[in-house]
Amino acid sequence: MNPAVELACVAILALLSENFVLVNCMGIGARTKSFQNPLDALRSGYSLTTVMVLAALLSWPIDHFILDRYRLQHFRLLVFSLIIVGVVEGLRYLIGTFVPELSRRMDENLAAVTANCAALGSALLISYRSLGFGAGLLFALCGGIGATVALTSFAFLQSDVHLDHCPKCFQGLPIQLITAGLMALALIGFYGLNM
Amino acid sequence: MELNQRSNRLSPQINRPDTTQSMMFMVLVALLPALGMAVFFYGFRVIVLAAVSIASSVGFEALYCRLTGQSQTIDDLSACVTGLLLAMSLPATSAYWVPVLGSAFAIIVVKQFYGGLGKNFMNPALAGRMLLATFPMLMTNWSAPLDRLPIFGVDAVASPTPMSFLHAGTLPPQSVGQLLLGQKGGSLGEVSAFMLLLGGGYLIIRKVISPRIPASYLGTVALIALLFPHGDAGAVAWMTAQLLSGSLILGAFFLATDPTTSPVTPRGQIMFGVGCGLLTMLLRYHSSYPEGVGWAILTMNCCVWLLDRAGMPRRYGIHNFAVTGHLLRRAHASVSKIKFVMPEHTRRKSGEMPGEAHLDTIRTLAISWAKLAAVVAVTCVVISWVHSATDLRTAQAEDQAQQALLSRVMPQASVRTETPYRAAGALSITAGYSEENQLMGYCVEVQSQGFGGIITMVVGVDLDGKVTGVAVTDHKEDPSVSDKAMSPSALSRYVGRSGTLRTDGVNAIDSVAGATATSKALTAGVNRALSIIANLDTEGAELNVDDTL
Repeated sequence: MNPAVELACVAILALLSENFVLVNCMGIGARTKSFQNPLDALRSGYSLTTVMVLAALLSWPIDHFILDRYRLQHFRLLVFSLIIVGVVEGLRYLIGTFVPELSRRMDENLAAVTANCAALGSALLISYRSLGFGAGLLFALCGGIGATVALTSFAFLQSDVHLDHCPKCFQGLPIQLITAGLMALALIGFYGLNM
Repeated sequence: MELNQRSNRLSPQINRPDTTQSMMFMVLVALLPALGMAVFFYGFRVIVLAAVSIASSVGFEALYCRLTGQSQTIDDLSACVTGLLLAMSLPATSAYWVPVLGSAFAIIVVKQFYGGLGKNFMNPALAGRMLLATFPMLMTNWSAPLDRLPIFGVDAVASPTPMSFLHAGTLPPQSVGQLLLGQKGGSLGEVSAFMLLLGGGYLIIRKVISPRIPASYLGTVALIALLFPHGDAGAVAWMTAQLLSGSLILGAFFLATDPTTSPVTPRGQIMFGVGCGLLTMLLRYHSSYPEGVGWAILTMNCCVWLLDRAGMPRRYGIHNFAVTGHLLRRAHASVSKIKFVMPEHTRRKSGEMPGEAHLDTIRTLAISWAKLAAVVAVTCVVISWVHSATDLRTAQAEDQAQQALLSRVMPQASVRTETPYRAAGALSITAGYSEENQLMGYCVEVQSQGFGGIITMVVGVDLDGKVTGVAVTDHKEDPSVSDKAMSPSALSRYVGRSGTLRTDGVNAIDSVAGATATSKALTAGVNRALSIIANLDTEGAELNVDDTL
C-alpha cells in the first residue's frame, strides 16, 4: 500500500473507529470536571494530546531499540508507565518554571493526565500493532485529537442538553453514562473499518 | 417583493408551519407516497408493520408521560413521525416485535429521558433503528420486490440489495428507472427514491425543512462518488447508483433534517450536511457494513453543538467579519498573557554554607526517590520471576524439541499427543498421529541402567509392535563409549525389530565393540518399551478408544 494512504488510514482509525474515549473506553480518567466544563475539556484534551505524542516519541525508540532487541518485552508496561509519569512531571516542571501563566491554567489538567489510561494505552497500542515511528506519532496525535473532540463534544452536550428531565433515579451519573453510551452507539458503525 | 423585505438570516419561522402539530402532519403526508410504493412492492404486511411501529411509539410516549406525571404530549404527532420513520427504515421481513423494541428505545431512552420533543440530542427513530442494527442477523434479510409478503409467517427469499453490489464495487443490475421507482431490495423507506424526492420537495416548499442539509449532503456524496468511481460503467453511472441506492435519500430529507438534532445556523447546517456526506462515503467504501447513512447521521448528531458554535450564531447587525475579528482578538489577548519567563537563578554567595533547611529538602527528596526506586525494583523482580515461571518462549522451545524428537523416533507421524496412560517403567507415553489423524504408534520414554548411570531414551513403536526409532535424551556414559553405542548407525539397527531382543542368539542385536554395557542397557530399554506397548495392546480397549479419537 502507498505509505501516504497507509498513514491516512492510521489517522482515520485513531480519530474515529478507535476513538480513545468512546470506543476504546480509555482516557475517561478521574477528572469529572472535564466532562462538564467545555473549556476544561479542551485543556484536558490539549494536555492529553501533548503527553501522548511525547510519550510515543520517547517510548517507540526505547521499545524498538532496547526492549525488543534484548527480549525484555515483559518490562514494557512498567517502562511505559514510568516514561509517561516522567513526561508529565517533566512537562509540569518546565511549564511551571518557564511559562507560569500556562501552568496556572493547565497544571491541574496535566496532573490528571498522569492517571489517564489513554496516554499509556496509545503507547502500548503503537507497540502491539508494531506501527512504524512516523505512523506511531500520527496515531498518538490523531488519537489525542479524537479524544479531545469526543471530550469537548460531551462537555458541550452536558452544558447544552438538560440532563435533569429524566426520572429521579436516573439523574446524575446514570444519565451521563447513557449519554456516553448513545454517543458510542453512533460510532459502532466505524468499528472494523477495513482500509 | 416580499422576499426582498426579509433578511436572509433572521426570523426562520416566517412562512413556516404554525404549530409543531401541523409540521409533523406535513412530514407524515410527505412520507405517504414512499409508504404507498412500499405497500405496492412488499404487500400489506408493510401497513401492519408501520401501524405496529406507530402504535407502539405513541403508546410508549403516553405511558411514559402517565407514569412520570407529565402532561400528555402525544397530540403533537411527533411520536407518530418517529414510529413511521422507524418502520420505514426496517426491512419488510422484520418480525413485529422489532419495531416495538426499537420504538421503546427511541421514545423512552433517546427522547423522553432528555425531556421530550425539542430537547433530545439524537434522532430517536434513527437511534432506535441503529440499535436494532447492532443485533446480529436482524437487518440482513432483505426480501425481493414484488414478492408480496403474507401478514403472518414470513418465509421470504433473501435477495441482495443494490447496496451489497455497490459495497462489492460493482454497479447493481437494476436500471436507473428501477432504482428511481424502487424495484429493488431494501428497507421500506429505501425502495422508491422518486417518491421520497417528491415528499422531500413538498417539505422544502412548505418550509418544514431547509434545503441546505439535503443539498449539501447529497452534493458531497455525489462529488465523492464522481471523484472516486468504482466499477467499469463510468463515474456518472456510479454516482447515480450511489445516490439512488440505500437509505441516502430517506436520510438526507427526513432523518438528517430533524430540527431538534440538526444545527440552527445556516453555516452549521451546510457543515452538517457535508460531514454526513463525507462519513457516509467513508463508511460505504471502507466499512464492513454496506450502508453507512445511519451511522453517519448519528455521529454528526453528536457534533451539532460544536457545529452550531462554529457556525457562530450572532447578534443582530454584526457582520461575519466583525465577529471573526472579535473572536480572534479575544483569543490573541488570551494567548498573549502566556509569556515565557526566565526563572531567576538563586546563586548562592561564595563562602556561605547551606543551612539546615537545605539538608531537610535534600533528605525529603532522597526519601521519595528511594521509595520510587524500591517500588520499581520490587516490581522488576516480580515481573522477571513471573516471566521466567510462565515463559511462553521456553515452552515453545520445549515443544519444538519434543517435535524434533518425535520426527527422529517416529518419522511417519507428524502430530504428537500426550496420552493419559501410565504404565510401570514408562516415564511417559505419547501417541503419534499421521497428517490424516491416523494413529501411527506410540513413543515411550523409558530409562535403563547404563555403565555410568541412568540412560533416558525414547523408543517409537508402531501398531505392529515394531520399533520405528530410538533416541537417547539423557545419559551419563563416557563420551568415547557413548559416541560408539549411540551413533545413528548403531541406533538404526533397532528399527523394524519386534518381539524380545537379545544380545546374542535369535533376534539378537550385537553389542558395539568397546561399549558392551551401554549397548546392553540400550537393548534392555528397547525391550522394556516393546513390552509396555505389547501390554497396552493386549489390554486392547484403551488402544481402540484412542484409535477412534
